[in-house]
Amino acid sequence: MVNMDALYEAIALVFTFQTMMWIAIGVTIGVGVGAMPGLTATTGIALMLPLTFTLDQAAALGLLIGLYKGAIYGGSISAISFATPGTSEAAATVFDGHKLMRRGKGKKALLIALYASVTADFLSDVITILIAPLLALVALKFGPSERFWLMALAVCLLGALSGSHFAKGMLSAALGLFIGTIGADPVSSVPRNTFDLWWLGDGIHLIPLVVGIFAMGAMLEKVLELSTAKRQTAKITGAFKNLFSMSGEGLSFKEYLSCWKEMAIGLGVGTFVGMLPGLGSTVGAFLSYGVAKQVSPEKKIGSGVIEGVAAAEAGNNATVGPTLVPLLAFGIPGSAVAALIGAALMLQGATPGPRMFELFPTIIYSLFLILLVGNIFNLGIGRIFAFVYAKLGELPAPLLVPLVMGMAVIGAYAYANNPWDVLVMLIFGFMGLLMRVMRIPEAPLVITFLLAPQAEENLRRGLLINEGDWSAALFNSPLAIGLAVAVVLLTYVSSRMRIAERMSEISDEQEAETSAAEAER
Amino acid sequence: MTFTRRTTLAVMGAAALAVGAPGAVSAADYPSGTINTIVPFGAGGGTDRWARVMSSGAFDVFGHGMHVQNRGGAAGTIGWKHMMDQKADGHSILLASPTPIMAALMEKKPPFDPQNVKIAAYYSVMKPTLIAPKDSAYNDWASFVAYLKDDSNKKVTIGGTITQLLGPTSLLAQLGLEKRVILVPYSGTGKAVNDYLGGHINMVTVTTSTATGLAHDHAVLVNASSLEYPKAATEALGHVPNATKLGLKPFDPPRFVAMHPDTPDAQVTAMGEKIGELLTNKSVARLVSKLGEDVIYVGPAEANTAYQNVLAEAKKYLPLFQ
Repeated sequence: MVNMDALYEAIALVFTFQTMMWIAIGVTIGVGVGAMPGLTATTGIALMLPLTFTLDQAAALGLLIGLYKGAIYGGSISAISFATPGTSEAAATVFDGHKLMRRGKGKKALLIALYASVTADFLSDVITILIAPLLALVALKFGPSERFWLMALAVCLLGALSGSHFAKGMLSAALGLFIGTIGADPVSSVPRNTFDLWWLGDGIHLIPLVVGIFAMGAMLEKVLELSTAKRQTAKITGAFKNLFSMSGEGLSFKEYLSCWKEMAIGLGVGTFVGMLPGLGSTVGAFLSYGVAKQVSPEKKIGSGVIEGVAAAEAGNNATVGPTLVPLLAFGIPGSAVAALIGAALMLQGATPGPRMFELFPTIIYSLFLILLVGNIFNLGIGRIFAFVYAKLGELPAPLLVPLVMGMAVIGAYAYANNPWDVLVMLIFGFMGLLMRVMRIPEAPLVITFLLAPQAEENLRRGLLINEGDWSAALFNSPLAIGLAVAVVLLTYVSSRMRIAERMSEISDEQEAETSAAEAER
Repeated sequence: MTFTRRTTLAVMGAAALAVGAPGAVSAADYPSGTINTIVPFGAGGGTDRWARVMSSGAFDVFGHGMHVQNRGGAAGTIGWKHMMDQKADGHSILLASPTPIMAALMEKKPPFDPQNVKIAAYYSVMKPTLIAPKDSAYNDWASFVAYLKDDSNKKVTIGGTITQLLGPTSLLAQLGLEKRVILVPYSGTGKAVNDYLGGHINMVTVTTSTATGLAHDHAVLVNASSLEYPKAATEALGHVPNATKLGLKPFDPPRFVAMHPDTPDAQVTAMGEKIGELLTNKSVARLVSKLGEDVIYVGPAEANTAYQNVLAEAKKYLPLFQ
């Protein structure tokens, strides 16, 4: 039941010039941080935390929540403009966003990224506000067995992300699987596959991997293009210039509405992934993208369409509100960002926990209002910032390439101030280049790298709890059994669809060959 | 070695007095510049929060700022190694927890020897706290021990981070009962609590602040350290026995300030005392308390001895997780 007095008090606290100003500052910093490769929402919030010591409750929350929202969206700006995901959660945006940019439709891509982000973020915030305790109870049902099957279900979506060559998709997935096993094993922390290099003890970090594969890989490819085809460079530079011209192709309301299905998928997947501890917005983005691609094959997601951008961006921004669910319902921070927001709440005198709604209703309502209002600021500031930041694209390509490479190096280092991460990023840069040249899709590598260690961790934890009994570890609840059945069904259905697609391609090729032969005669 | 709140506060008071006494610190102009404060974990964790709170009072105490640097990776070992690569001039300190120690002890070729370091001070000590459902057959320490002694009962699963799990493990090992539990390590307390609340594991071992949030609906069995909870936490948790009261050897996982092993002793001592002064700074103390944390200050001499004990305990019980 709503405590009206506390709600009025929260409204009075949030709708002040000071709070609005701090939300605006937070979003502005956040978009900048997100757009800069290597700097994450967590880093930005941690840096701002000491500043909140001097602010009142609403202003402090406004700054941090604004920064969080801005950073999650900000990653898409550089992903679309330079194929350089500013944050790991924007990696899935590269696939369609950058292709649109290269076709001179960058403005359209940036706008759909912003609108899809804000739409899904706003709606997931409303869901969080209305049913946070219920969502939290659902999240608790997912133990090690259920999480294992959930990861397996996600990996099955690889079929949708593996492009036209299934074998190449599987090779990419296998690489991701191996890279994911490098470092301390997820249960007993014993190092493995580290080639006796101590700095690999904690494994490969997501940011250097993503920046290397996508940003450095793309730039190395551009270096090759520059050295072989000057006309191509002029075309790319022209595409950037088109982005800022008044006549640049914008986004119509009809086009925005045409992405409703992808935004709805992003909303559902992102909300679900966000409320489960440990998964995060990168998984949300990739899963949403994979599901959208599977559900609407006719839209040709992956070939450079706005629906692909909408699915990825809705998927990552929809995790923002729900990631706070375990914190608000049980006092458990489900992510590093939630831990920092929890710390900020504690510093403001409100200890997160099951009795938070009862003990600190004003702070809770203020948080909810800021979650909603923050979207409006994200929409306005994100729009201005996107175009200002992307002005870098006006630079001629011979300057742009070293600039982005420099950003990638700085970003990989800035992530943890760790020089080894730069080396790792460079290695993955060359790997990314090879994958592009050989037309091996990157998505399966990233998604298995993200999910396989979590699947292993949960399976081994399930086995540990059940003293090595596999059947108990795998099928210990109706939910686990249901998810296992879903994995089998999805594998069957997607295999059938893929075989049918391939058969149709072969028959098209044969028809084309026959008609060409007849024409020759 | 065991601590009590009274003795640690006394040490802390003595340190503050020592700092105030003329000529007590040999290097009067120390520190002469910014303190390079290395956090061996990414932004957002517990150690990072401590560092940022402590840095907010640095100018008042050091006359210079604390530059917090996150050097995460390889379970804290990269940050530790980075500290070892700095000049031993007393201007680089490492704020750490036992995690990098555990990681180094598990490595065949560790990048550093956790024994080869100087500890300037402990600024807090964790109190691994064991939680169980109120309606379970083991809702206090005595019933838990009795339950485990009865071989006809099923093994009990306990989740938590390795550092937190070492607490109850060491207590149960002293009673010869460590084989009656299944230790389920997690990378973070949040994930462990999630599985505990969902009924996927039987018990969970957590920090004081998490225990305080859970105490309303759950039974708090034991505090595996030698310390008492702070007053505010005691109100929520009730009178939970600690290891010392149970007549067992406690496990006191520290949060500590480490320095390069070649740093002159006078500077290590001076840094330890300055840290003591920093923790009594009103603004820092207020923020620490609001974070639900507890200042347990231990000066250089005692901290170095206590640290060696923690190393010995970790070496003894880590094989149980491998």
